[in-house]
Amino acid sequence: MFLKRTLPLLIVFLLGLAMIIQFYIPHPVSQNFYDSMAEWVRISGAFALILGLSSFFYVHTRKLARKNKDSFYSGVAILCLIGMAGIGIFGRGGINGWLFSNLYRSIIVPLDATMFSLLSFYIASAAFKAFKARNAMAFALLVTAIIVMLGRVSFGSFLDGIVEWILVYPNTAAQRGIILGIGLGMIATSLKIILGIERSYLGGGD
Amino acid sequence: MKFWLFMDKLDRRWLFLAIGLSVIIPSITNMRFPVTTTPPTLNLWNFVDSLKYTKKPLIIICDYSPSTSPELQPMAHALFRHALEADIPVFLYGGLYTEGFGLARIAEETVLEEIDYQKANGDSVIYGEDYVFLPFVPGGLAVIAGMGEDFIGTFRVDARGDSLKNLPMMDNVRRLEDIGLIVDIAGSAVSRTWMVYAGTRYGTPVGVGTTAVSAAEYYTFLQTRQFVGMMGGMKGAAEYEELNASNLNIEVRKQAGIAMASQNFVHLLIIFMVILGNISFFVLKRNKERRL
Amino acid sequence: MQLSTSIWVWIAAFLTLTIYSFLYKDNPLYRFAEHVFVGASVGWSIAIVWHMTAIPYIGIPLRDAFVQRNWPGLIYVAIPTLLGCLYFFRFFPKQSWLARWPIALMMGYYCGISISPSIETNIFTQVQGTILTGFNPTSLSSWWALLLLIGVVSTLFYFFFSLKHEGIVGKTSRLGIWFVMIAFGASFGYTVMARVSLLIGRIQFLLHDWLGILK
Repeated sequence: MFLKRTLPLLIVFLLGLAMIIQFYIPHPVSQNFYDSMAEWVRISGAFALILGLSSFFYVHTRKLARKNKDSFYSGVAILCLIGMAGIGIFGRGGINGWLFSNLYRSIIVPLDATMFSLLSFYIASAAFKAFKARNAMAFALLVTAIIVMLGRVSFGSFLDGIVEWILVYPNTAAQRGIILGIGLGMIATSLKIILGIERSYLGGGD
Repeated sequence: MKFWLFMDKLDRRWLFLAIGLSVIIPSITNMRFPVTTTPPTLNLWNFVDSLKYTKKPLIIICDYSPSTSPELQPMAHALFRHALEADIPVFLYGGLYTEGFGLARIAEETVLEEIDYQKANGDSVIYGEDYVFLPFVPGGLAVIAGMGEDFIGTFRVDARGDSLKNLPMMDNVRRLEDIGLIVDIAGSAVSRTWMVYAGTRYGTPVGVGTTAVSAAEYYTFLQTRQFVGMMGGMKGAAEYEELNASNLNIEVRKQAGIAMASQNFVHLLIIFMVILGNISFFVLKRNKERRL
Repeated sequence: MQLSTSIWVWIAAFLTLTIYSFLYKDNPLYRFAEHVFVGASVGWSIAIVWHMTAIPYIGIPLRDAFVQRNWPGLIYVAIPTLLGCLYFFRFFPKQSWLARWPIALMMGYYCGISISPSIETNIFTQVQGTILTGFNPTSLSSWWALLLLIGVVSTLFYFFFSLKHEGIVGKTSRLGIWFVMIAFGASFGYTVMARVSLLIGRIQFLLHDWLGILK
């Protein structure tokens, strides 16, 4: 029980407290502790990345084993992963190598960018089909959006002043209200974790 | 009435086609429109430019993935170009996530090829003296904290694998407080992490280049000067390119500036669609009420 | 028009068009490209972590400490490395509790380190930027600063659910919604710009880098 539950809670409590206190102590001992902890987190953090990788293999090997029409695609994903990682690790020049750099530029960059650019088509269709002034407040939202959209391109440069005013005053006011709320929430959550009130990160079980 | 019913049932693929054409046509007809400068970009440009007097280094962080690179990559290029031309020592850094590393490298190669490895004053660009490329180091927040206390110790080597200690640019860089300005270019909230830790904790000025999605939100940090300036989206990048061109006499392809021509037409089209969609909504609603 | 002669540009163009084919309808080519993307980008990250973390932060320090018989140095690197290895126990249901130790290290570190700067950045500085200092009725900027103050307070009221939204609280929170709506409108306008920029970026690639139509 101690090792399973109490020890992790104790680590969080002591380390959390130490990290809060060291912020206010500009002494070499405190800085050294801070540096060491930063390095430890960096090193063990690298393993968390590998953990993500394992779940990738888990999902795709299962799909592959099912042998339906999706299996081919999972095979493609696994092959691409092995190929890319293999070239980067064992290939000539490693990640600075010619092949690895070119694969990044002509496969990953265009695919990632194009996937996200699809959103522009959907936002346009949503503008036509869903962006309706159903009441006064929705009307305010709609008018502001149109002013900002127009004011941020050359055709609407005459609106520059009003767009800047909207952004600096009413927009900043609301954004700040939201940021203050989120800030307070974050501090409260961190404190709850350090004090052991919030324990969901431990997962289920004993 | 028939028209509105037709519009209401219109296959959205026609809208997709209209969007596509309004991007392609202004591009191939080579349309150009003037770009006006907004205060956040001007403040950032001026702050970067002021570093040429103090010679404190600038860190350009490409904290984004390829998905947002059309908006953000021109920012990295414009900033890197500005620093080289104004003789400001500069660090190129791929940021806290792995994706940025490759994009920082693209910025390095593109800009150096564009200026043919030569600064405006005729001097050659020398690696290690004019700029240094930092490697990816995992650990997120811990990396910023490490840079704040021991810059060289955190990275140890540069992106080429050579020891940082031996590079002349590192002579005056021990920790973050020796840095003149950090400009974090990011499509996520990671810029706020830099603001909180590098800005608040270590007192290093932080500027930001962000996707247009976050631009409105960041005005609150501009007002408090927690961000010294900002490039917001493609428009911000185009403004920075324009400021480079007019103040430094740099004649290169204005990546974002060219894109803004299409942006003009797509924005007009979307505004038109919003208005049309609303008229259709009210006409159909009134028609329905009449029938009841 | 000068068509690209680089095979890499052709590959990139082909993949770009493959993704856009989804706009017409879902098809096998799109699904192929989608899976290429998922696999290649994870593979890319592995190589980066290998060269930039595993080797310089774990491999080399462990080897050096061992060769130089620097036992404290060896332990210093071995502890976080072993802690990191404990993550793998997540795959063994009976011993999965061991993975809680490295998670506890992360949680303690990040929660502790985030509190103090967060108070300063998100709370103090933001409040400071809102407080009115020396209100001058003849100056327009004083009135705008007052508007900012009213906006922040009313937005906070809107998101404050511990009090029932009626009477003066209700009126203030309703004013807050107007500010929130204007802010969301501004964000939406900017979001449109962001999404369109991505599309322009891809079209520029096709027209400039691939087809050579654009200068």
